[in-house]
Amino acid sequence: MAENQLALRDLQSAHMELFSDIAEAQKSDRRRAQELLAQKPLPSATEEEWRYSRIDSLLAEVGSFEVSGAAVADSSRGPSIDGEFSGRITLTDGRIWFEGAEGIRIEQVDSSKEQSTFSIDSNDDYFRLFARGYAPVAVRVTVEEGYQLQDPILLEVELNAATTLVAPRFEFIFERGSSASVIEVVTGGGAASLLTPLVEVAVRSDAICTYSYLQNCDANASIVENVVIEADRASRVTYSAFGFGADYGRLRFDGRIIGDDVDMKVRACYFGSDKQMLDFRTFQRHIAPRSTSDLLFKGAVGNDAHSVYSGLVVIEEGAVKSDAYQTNRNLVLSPGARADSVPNLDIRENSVRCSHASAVGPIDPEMMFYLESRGVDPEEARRLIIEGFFKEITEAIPNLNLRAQIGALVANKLKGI
Amino acid sequence: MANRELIIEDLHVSIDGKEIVKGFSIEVKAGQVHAIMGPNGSGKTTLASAIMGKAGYQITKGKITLDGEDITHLPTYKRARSGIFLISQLPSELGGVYLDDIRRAQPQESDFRVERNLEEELSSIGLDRELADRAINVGFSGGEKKRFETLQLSLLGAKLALLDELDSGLDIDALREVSRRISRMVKEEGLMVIAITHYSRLLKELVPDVVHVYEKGKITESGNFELAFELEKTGYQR
Repeated sequence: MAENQLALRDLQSAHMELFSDIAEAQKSDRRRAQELLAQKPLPSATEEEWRYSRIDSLLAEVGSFEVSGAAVADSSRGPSIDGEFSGRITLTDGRIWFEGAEGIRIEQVDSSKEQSTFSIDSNDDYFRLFARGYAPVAVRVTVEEGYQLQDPILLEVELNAATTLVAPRFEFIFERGSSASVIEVVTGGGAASLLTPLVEVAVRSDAICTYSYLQNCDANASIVENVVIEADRASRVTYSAFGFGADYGRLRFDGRIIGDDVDMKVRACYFGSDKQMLDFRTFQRHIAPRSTSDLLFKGAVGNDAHSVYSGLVVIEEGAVKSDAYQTNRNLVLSPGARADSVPNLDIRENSVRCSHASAVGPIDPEMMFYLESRGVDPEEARRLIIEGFFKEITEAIPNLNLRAQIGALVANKLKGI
Repeated sequence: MANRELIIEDLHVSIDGKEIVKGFSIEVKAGQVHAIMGPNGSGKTTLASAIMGKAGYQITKGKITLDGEDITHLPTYKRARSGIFLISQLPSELGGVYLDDIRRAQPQESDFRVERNLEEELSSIGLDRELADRAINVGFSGGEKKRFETLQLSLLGAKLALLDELDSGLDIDALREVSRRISRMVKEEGLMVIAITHYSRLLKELVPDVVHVYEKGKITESGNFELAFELEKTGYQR
C-alpha cells in the first residue's frame, strides 16, 4: 500500500508541474480538495465502495503511468456522434477545445476567483477529490436561464497517448427553466491509460437535463469516472450510462435530490466481454421531500468478463413522500463470466415508497424455446433476446444517432460471445 | 394438402431419466382435429413439448413423421420450419422482441404471411393493431396472449397446431373468436390440430374428429366427439 501511495503522490506532483500555471491559478479551490485527499487513505477493495473492484491492481500499476502533455485537440475533427450540436467540448490528452451556440456559456474554470457550486467533503470518492484537487483541465458549461436547446451538447474525452493518466473535470450548470441534453463520449486509451474524469451537474429549479454517457475506451484502458448530479426543485433529470469498452471501466453515480418535486431517472446498459470488468456504483440520495428517483441498470457479461453493480438509496430525514426505485438485471452468457449485484436501501424517514430488485442469471430457456418454436434459429434467438433485454433502455435514448451507435456496439459485442 | 399427415409411433419421452410418455401413438390427417383429454399429471404438456423438440425432453424410443419426413430428432427451430406450431398454456413474455423480429428471422420472408394479410388476421381474431406492434406478450392479458399466439399460428402458415390448454385464460367471446379462426384454417388450409384440454367448452367451438383419453403416458381410449361430454359427466375413473 505504501508503495502505491507513493506512486500516486508522485503522479500528483507530476500533474502539478506539467500544468503549473493552471494549478497556481486554481489553487484555492483546489487546495481544499488536496487537503481532503491528503487525509484520505488510498482506495482499497477492502472498503465496501470498492468491494469486488480492481482498484488494488490498478493502483499497483499507477506508478508506471506518465502524465502526458500530448497532442492538442483537433478542432477540425468530425464529432464522434453524427448530428448537429448546440455545443461541443473536446478533450484530447489533457488539451481542451470548445465552442457553444447562443444560450450556452463554456469557459475554463478559474477556482482562484470563485468557489465551486459543488461542495466536497472527506466522504467523497477518492477520484472525485483527485480531479477536484489536481485536474489539469476544468471546464464549466452553463445552459442559460430559460433556454431550451434543441440540439445536444457533445462532450468528447479521448485519450490517445500511451501510459497516460488524465483527470479532467467538467461542470454543467442547467440554469432555472433551461432544457438541454448532453452526450458524453469517452474513447481511446491506447496501450494502457488511466482516465479519471469528474462530471458535476447542477440542475436548477424547473430545468430539464438529459445526460447520456457512452464509455467505449480501448481494450487496455482503465477508466474511473465520477458523476455527481444535484437536482433542485421541480427539475427533471434523465441520466443514462452505456458501458462497453476498457479493461476496467468504473462509473460512480451520485444523484442528489436537493429540492421538492424532482423526477430523476437513472439508466444504464453495459456489456462486458473477454476479461473486462465493468463496475457501477450508484447513490440515490433524497434530501428533499416529494421527489422520485427511478434507477434501472441492465448488463450482460460473456467470456470471462465480470460486472459489478452496487447501489444505495438513501432517504434522509425530512425527505417525506419520496419514491425511490432501484433495479439491476444481469445476463450471464458464458460459464466464465460473472455478475455481482448488490442493491441497498437506507431509509431514515417514514411515509416513503422504496423498492429494490436484482437478478443475475443466464438467458431464460423458455424464451429461447419460444423463439425456436417459431422457426428462429438458436443463434438468432439468442441475439434477439439479448438485444431485446437492452431495448427497454436503448429505445428510450432520444438521440437517434447515439441510439444507432449503441445498437451497433451491442451487436458487435455479440459477435465475440 | 392431400398428403399432409402426422404419424407418431410408440413415442417414449423421458425427463431427467424418468419416463413420462410411455408409448404414445397417433395418426392425424389433413384437416383433422384430435382432442387429448386426461387427468392432471398424466404428461400431456410433456407430450406437446416433446413433439416440439424442447430441450430436456428426451425421446428415447419411437418416431414422429410429418408429411413423410422423419422429424423425431430435429432441433426445435427445424420442426417449426417444417410446419409445427405450439401454443403453450402460459406463453412466454419476450421483452424487446417483436413480431417483426420473428418475421425477419424466417428463412424466406414469403414463408411468413405477415405482409399479405396482417390487418385481416388481426381483425379476424379481435386483436388491436397496437398489440401486434408491442414486444411479444409483454403486458398482455391472458386472452390477448392466446389471440396473439393464434395470430402467429396463422401468419406462419403452420401445418400442425399443438394447442396446450388453449382455453385457459380465455373468456367465452375470446375462446369463440380464436377457435373460429383455427377452425377456418382447418377447413380451408388443411391444418392439423392436436388440442390438449380439460374441458369440453373448447371442443364445442373447435369440434374434434377424434377424442383420446390420455393417462399415465399413453392413450387408453379413443372415441368421437361424444366421448368428451361423457368424460365431463363421469370423470376419468369410470
